[in-house]
Parts: sequence; structure tokens; C-alpha cells
Amino acid sequence: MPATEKNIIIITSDGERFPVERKVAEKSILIKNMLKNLLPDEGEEDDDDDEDPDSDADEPIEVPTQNVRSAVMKNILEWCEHYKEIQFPDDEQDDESKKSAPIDPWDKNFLNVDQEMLYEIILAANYLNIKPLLNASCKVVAEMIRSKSPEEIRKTFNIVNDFTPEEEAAIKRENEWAEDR
Amino acid sequence: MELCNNKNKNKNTNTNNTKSKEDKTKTDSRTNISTTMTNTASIYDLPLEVWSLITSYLEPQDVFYMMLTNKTVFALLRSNYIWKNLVYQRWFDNAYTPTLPQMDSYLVYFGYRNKQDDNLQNLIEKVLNLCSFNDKNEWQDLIDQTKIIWKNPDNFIPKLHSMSQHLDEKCRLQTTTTTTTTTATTTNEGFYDAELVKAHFKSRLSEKKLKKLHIGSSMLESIRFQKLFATIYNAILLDKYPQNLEQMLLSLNHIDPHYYELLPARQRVINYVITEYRRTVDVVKDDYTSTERLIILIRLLMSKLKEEAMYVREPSSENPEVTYFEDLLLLRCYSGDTYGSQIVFNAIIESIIQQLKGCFQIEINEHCIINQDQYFPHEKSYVFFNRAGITVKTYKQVADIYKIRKSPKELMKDLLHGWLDMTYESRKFSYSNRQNATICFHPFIYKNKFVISRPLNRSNNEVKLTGQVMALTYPSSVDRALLLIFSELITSMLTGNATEICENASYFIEWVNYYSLPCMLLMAEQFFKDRDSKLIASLFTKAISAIELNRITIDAPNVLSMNELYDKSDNKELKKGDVLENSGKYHIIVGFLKDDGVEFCLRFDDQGDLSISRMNNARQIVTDNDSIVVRFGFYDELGRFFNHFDPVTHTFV
Repeated sequence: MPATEKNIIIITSDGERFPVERKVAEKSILIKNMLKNLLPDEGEEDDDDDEDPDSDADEPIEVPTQNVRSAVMKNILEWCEHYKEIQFPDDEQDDESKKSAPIDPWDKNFLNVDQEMLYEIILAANYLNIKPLLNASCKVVAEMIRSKSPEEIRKTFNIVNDFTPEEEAAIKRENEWAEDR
Repeated sequence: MELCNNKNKNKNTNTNNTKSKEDKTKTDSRTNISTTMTNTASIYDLPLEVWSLITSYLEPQDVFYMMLTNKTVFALLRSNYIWKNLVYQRWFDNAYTPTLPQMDSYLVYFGYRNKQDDNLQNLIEKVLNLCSFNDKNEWQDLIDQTKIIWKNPDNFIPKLHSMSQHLDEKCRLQTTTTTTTTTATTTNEGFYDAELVKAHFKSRLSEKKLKKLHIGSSMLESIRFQKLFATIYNAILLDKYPQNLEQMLLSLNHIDPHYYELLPARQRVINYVITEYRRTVDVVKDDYTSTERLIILIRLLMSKLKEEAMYVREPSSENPEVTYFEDLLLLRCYSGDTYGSQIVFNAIIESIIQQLKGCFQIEINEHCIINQDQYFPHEKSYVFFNRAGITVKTYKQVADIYKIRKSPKELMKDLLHGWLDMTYESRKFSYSNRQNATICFHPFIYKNKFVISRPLNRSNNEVKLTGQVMALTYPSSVDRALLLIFSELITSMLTGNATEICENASYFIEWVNYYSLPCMLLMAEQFFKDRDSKLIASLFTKAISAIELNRITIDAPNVLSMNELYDKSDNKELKKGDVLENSGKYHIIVGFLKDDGVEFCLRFDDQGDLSISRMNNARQIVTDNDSIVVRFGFYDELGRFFNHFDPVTHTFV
């Protein structure tokens, strides 16, 4: 079966080549759409009968991803591989329940990386348009912010406070509503 | 290599940045801080779009604290792109996007709005804490305090409902929030959430809370009504239009929110029709008579509305929810649901024609459009249209039915007409047939919530708190009936007939008492005092003093046991939609709930309560603990299953 073949080659910004199954690569909507344009005739079914793109059918397709470096892509592909059999719902119908739903344990573990990598994963997921991964990783960031004081948040993210006390007080004054925690 | 890439990236984005506006910031644009970065990503690298997603998982307070960390973060997160969403999340249900007044900063708006809410809530809580509701003096205190709140009800539109919900939310047990079913809601099982029901029930059980909540929501309800009454008062008594139709719709929003929500959708339709009209007609303008052009215009409008209706089944991929709701509303507005449809419809035509300056010479009245057309007798054609089609008539044909445009008074009555008429009829009916009060069932589907009126039961004078605490869940037909009685009261005030005034006022008081809205009396008293109607005000003062506070009691859930239901059903298996009668009460089975293998049966009774009881295979006696009364407004999906209740066949269809 050609479907199981690793006939998509993803090339990262630093030139590394990752051969993957189409199913895996298509977790990225960006790549999925790209492939759709490249291989318009190839649907879910086999492409063996098709004569026209005969040269394409056998040869792997190269997909360059300029914004993602290989260390990040490795992670991204691990995620895609893990979820390759799962069909995510297309749109976010059930907004509320999604929002309050806890992060999937596997995702949580997967995203247990240093902050730099987390941001890179977010950026890559955003660029490659992988919604479920983007949602999960944003939730992780949200968790890091939730119910903390500004000082605690600064510590978490290594943010240097460049407000003068007067400025900070002024902002707080303008936004009294937020001052009852 | 990496470094090089990043640099390129930054370069690109920086040039982008200069071109794009802050609000339109997309995937790759960053603020110029990224130049200070090293070769790996930092938190400053995340684009606004991603931040918008992150903040959607956070409380506004968290977002604000994040902003306080650093100037760069502050500059990024204060964006309207973020705060607009937070504003909508908080005060609007995201299902539609009303046009808010133009504002520079949604952050500022958020603060403002939040403060308003807090003020109101604090005030109400203060009032509630002040009183134990047992003592007359305390009741008087409540009256005085409440008047302060009513002084400026303008702050609390258009989504007063959400305030009531907040109040409810605050008092509700914490357990309710996170447990929602993950399965798609299209299946029958999906929409009943056992956990939620249980938690809600628990929160109900604390009597004290119930009473407080009830008074609180009653107050909010009164504010809402004050707004409505003022509109009616102006229209009927002063025969004065509200500033424009928009204003009137805004007021009517308090009866049925979709009037307000209609506004943005309407503008879109108007724009579409005008564009299409220009495209199809302008080219060959001279080939058509003006009547023909008018018909084309109306056809376009009709087909657009029909097409919009299609979206109800097939939402557009771009923004499914918004389209879905707006069009659903639109559909409702033109399906005759609101009885004001023709008026709204005419208003649309009118504004289209205004925008197509000079194309038509027309005059619109309740029944038809009178169009200047030289090819018709008297140079006028009469175009009638409704959802079914368009007909053109000549003067002779219309002479009989032609009427001049209605006065504001009549217009207002028309807008309220359908509901009130129906409720009025049933009200009369229930007065004359005291034995059979169940007849005035009048269910509505209101924003996906299923509501059903409770029959007016005159013999029951005690103010009762059943499970329906929140004002929001009061059936809208009650609103409408109250409005009708109120407009009658105003009318009788106009004629100065004292007997009528007293009669209408006592109707009003009776309704208010029955539906346990004591604050409404205070509001009404104030309303008439403000308008120098001492006589009527004194009637209300009397009514207020007559309220016996200890008679506000909690009505224990009064539910039939399944056993009795089975007896009535001749051992047949119960199906959804089955109606069972038991000692003059009707119970409608609206669904079944599975929880750990045990089946529950959900049903409406004729008191408008939705109840749940356990259903075992054997005909076991169900203990009291198994009967749970829930607020039915709570079952958001319920309306999906039925359109209305047919009183003849006693079934939901």
C-alpha cells in the first residue's frame, strides 16, 4: 500500500529531511492544503489507477517548511505521529467545553519541555496550522499565567519589570476592576 | 544557520509590521522587540493571534496581571484584538456580535462595564444582606434601597440577562462549571448532563439562598420592565414614536432579545440587496417599469432571506456560529414568530429605497407599498407582499382595504399584538374556566431555550417560590401578559375611568404576585409616582404593604412518582412526547437520561416544571430523593426537539 509509505519529505529550515507518511504530514492543515494543490487527483483512495501523475505517484514529495527548525520539527512530528489515527473535529463547535476541558495527559507530558521549545512549538503549530496542538500548547502557557500575581508571572517567564512604581500604580488605578484578588 | 534564519525572519516581519495595522496583526508580524532576541524563541515572539488564543483560556484578571509584568507585554496585550474578545466573552454569548458604540479601547470599556456590573451587584447584595425578609421595616428598607438602583437603569442594557446569570453563577455551587459532556451534542444522550443537573439541584436546596436569589433576580427583572414600560407609556399615552425604529427595537429587546440582535443582520441584508439590485437592474433600467423594478427588489430581498435561512442547516465555513445564529434570528423574524415581521420588513424596504435615492416614488403602509407608476391607473400600483409571494393590484382593488399608515400607538400595539393577544385570550379563558387552568399552555422557543408558560391560577394567592428562581426563566408569555395589562392600565389612565384603573391595577398586582416578582410592585409604584399619577401609585403602595413576607415560601418539588405514571400509561413503554394525565395535570415526557445504566425520565408538568425521575424496569416505587426538579431553561437543547405544544392533541410537535 502506498498509503503507508513515507513518501512525504518535510524539509526544515536548517535543511534536515524528515520522511513521513502522508497521514502524519496532513495533521498540518498547511501541508494538507499544499498537498491537495500538488496532487489534485489523489483522494482518499488509491492512486495506482491514475495514469497522469505517474511520475509523481512514486517519487516522494518534498515539502519545505522555512519557519521551523529540525529540533522543533522532530517534536511536532512526534505529536503528529501519535495522533495520526485520530480525526479531530473540523471546527470548534463546542467552544465552552473545549475551553474548560483539561489538557490531555499525553499532550501535557509531551509539552513538558523548556519554555523556549514550548514557544517554538507554538509558533510552528501556528505556522503549520495544527489547531489541536496549538490549543494544547496555548493552554499550557495559560496555566503558567493563571492565578498568579504579576511578580510571580515575571518569575515564571523571566520577564524583567521595566515599569516604574509610579507607572505601575497609574495602570492599576486606571483598572481598578482588576484589583480585588 | 539558525541565527541566520531568525534574522531573516525578523527582517521580514519588521517590514511587515510597518505596513499592517495593529488590529490586523497576523501570524508573522511581531513587535519590534524581536530584534533584541537571541537565536531561540522567547515569550515576546508569540504573535498577537496566539496571545488571543492563550487569553481566551484565562480570566480577564489573569490577562491584566500578565500585562502588568512589563511594558512590552503591556503594549502587546492591551490590543483591542484581545480585549474585544474578552468583552464579548464576558457580556455577550459570542453567538452574535452586536455593534457596540465606537470605542478606542476595549480594555477601558471592559473596566467601565465591569464596574457597572459590580456596582449593581454590590448594591443588590447590600440590600439582600440588609434584610432577612421577615420584618416589615426591613421590607421598607429594601424598597428604599431598590429605588436607588432603579434611578439609572440605562447602564444595564442591553444584556441585563447576563447580570442575572452572574448573580446566579455567584451563588451556584462551584461544582457545576467544568463537567460538560465531550460527546457531540447531536445525539440525544449528549445534552443531558447528569452531573450538572445534580449540582444544580444541590444548589437549589439551600432555601436561604433561594430566597435571596429570588429577590435579587426579581429586582433585575423590574429594571428590565421599567425600560419596557417607559416605551409603552410613551407610545400609548403620548402617542410619540421612540426616536426611531432602532430605538424601539432596542426596547423590545427586553421582551425578546432577537429584536436587538436583528440590527446588524439587517444591515448586511440591506447592503446585499442594494448591490444585487444595482447589478441586475441599473444596466437596463429603462426597460422596466418602476413596479417591475420594485418587484425585482422584493424578490431579491426574499431570496436573500431564504438563502440566509439555508445557512441554518449549512453554516458557512468561515464563521459558522455567527452565521448560524444571526440567520436563525432572521428567519424567526420573518416567519411571523414575532408578529412584528411585516413592520420590520417594511422598515427594511424603506431603508433600501431610501438608499436607492430617486429610483422609486413610494409610500409604505401596513398592507402594501404604493408605487408611482405611470402605466397603472391613477399612476399608482399597489404591491402586496408577504412570505408567500408578491401581488400587484390597482387602486380599485385596494380601495376597500387601504388604510393610512398607523399611528405610533397602533404600531406599538401591533408589535406586541400577537403575543399579547394570545396570552390575553388564554388569560380570559382561565378566568372563566377556573377548573381547567391548564389550557393556557403557551410554549416558546427562546434562544434555544425552551420555555413554557404557567397557567394562571387565581385561587392560589400565596407567593410561592418554586424551582424557578431566575428571572430569566420566567416564561416570556408572562412578560407579554404583564405588558398587555400594563398597556391597558395606561389606556384606562388616559380615559380616567377609575373603575377600570382599579381593575387593571389589580390584575397587574395579581400577576406580579403570582409570579413572585414583588419588586415589580415597587417599580410600578415609582413609575406612576414619577408621572404624577398618585391614584395608581397609591394602589401599588397598598399592594406592597399587603405582601406578607412570611408567605413567600419555598414550594417543595411536587412530582408524580413514576409508579403513577406507569399506571396511567397502561403499562405501555413510555416514549418521548407521550402525554400523561394525572388528576388534571399533564405530564409530557421530553426525554430520557441515562446515568450509570439507570434510566431517568424527564418530563414537563403543566406547572411548567421540568422534572426528572428514575425509571427502573420493574415498577418500583420511586422515593422522593429520586425526583429532581430542575430549571428547564437550563436545558439549552430542549427546544431542538419540539416546535410547539399542540393543545388539541396534547403533544409536542
